[in-house]
Amino acid sequence: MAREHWGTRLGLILAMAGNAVGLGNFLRFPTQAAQNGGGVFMIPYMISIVVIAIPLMWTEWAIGRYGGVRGHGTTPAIFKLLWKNPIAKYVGVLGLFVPFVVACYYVYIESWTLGYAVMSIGGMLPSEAAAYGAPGTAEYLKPFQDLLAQYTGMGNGDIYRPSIMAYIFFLITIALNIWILIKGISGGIEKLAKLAMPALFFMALVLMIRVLTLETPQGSAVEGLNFLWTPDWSQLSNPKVWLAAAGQVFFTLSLGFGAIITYASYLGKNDDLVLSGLSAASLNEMAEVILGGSIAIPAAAAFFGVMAAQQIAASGAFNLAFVSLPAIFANIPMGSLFGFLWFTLLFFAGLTSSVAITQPVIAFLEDEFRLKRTYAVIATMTFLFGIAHVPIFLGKALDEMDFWAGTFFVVIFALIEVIVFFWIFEGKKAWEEINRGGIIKAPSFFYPIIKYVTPLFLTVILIWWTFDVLPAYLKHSSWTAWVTRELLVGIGFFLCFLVFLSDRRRRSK
Amino acid sequence: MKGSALLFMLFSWGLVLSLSTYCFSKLFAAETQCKSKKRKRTKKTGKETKKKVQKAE
Repeated sequence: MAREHWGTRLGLILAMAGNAVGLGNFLRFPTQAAQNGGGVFMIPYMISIVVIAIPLMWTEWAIGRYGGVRGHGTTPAIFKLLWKNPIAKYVGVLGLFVPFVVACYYVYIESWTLGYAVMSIGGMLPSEAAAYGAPGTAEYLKPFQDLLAQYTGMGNGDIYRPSIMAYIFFLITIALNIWILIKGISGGIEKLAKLAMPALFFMALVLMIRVLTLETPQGSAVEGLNFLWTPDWSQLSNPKVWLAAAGQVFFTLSLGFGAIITYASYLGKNDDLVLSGLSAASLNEMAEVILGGSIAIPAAAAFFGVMAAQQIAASGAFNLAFVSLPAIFANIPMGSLFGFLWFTLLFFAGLTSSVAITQPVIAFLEDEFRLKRTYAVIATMTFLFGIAHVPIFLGKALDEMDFWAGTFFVVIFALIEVIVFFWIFEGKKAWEEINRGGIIKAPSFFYPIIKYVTPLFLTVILIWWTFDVLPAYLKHSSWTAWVTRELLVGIGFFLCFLVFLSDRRRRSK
Repeated sequence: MKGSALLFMLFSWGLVLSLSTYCFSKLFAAETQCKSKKRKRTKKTGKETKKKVQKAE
């Protein structure tokens, strides 16, 4: 069975950018920048892009292309090619585990954005009259907080009771993902990227212009930009700021998720990856630094004042997206349209990422078990649909899955990728693999960076998390957290079993 | 807008925009080169087949 390929180079770049541009670009980046020194955050951020993001991105593209040419699109099989050791394939299971677990809750959050987009355009969000007349920001935001709590059913209890509407939109989102994925790489994912990415940039630009012209008695968007970009030089010597910047560039480019590897496996043997990778990254940075930094925080500052915007930024990304922004749009002319644009923008960002993180398991079933694409998609999505009920109904399960799969294991997996490719497979061969067929060559100073600096930087992040973040996190574990952890172990074992079966199948053939 | 904030914002925007411009202009140049090569090849093969047909006749 011949493997699929990308139709055009532009389609590939847009699909890769679509994978990277997600909810984090518009929500996580501005809150991180605001909390970590404002403008000065950009210094460690840019350094991290050079030291971590670009090297890891080229590594993942090259690993993917290397495997794809040999008929494999996922790390269990590719690691086995790169590292002649019986445990290599089981180490590679992380390349299936991480994207699959993240997809299980990501699709659910993505469905909220779709639900909110429909509610915005349908005038079902709290009305102007309900919002006006409240004296403080907290009272003003209350109807929107209540709506979010009622929609998701996320309260203080251990069991959540989401609204029927939330569940219906979850089903629609799952169906939409299945429909796109069944159509394949070129016919589904690439077509989606070609449609969704320009639309996403256009909507973000419209929102940015609207926000930057926003002026209320409480403040203006320019004050928000001042708040976001004014450098706090004292923060530059704070190691937490550096780690926050490193973490941000890591997540913004979806590194360590395995999705880039799988997407790159559909490249041809001599297709360029150095320039294509950089182009996809530059699109992601445009969406993050220029558009992402000019919508949410400036809007909050203009509407609630800078002091309140600081509190909103500290209250997290969900509050910013689903409480503060709808509250702002509900009170400006044509607010329902701008609210619709905001949530559709987030939905497109989420959709292009969710198909990317679901693809590795599908590719694994196709490549290693020779399943037809339709069956591989249905099997993966049925499994995903089942597991997704845990974060939907079980309290704190979403945070738990995000902490382990979306935060901790991505760094471990990225470190393993660099070690396997640049140390075990051998640095010179890896460097040649990166540069083969390149429209431009990767500058030679990146070689020592990828080989020495990137793994060192990742190790530092890992040590910090293990000794600083992890103990504090484990202290506040409820029974629901332990149930989720057991589930994650179960998923890990199940994927290992599949890898074992695929290996036995290949040997018997 | 405050001077330092404006400076940092423009510096960041400038870096990102110049990276994008560099990447996409290089890609565009490569695509154009690739297309013109393809065109030349099709012209060449077309001429060769004509010659072959003429010889055969």
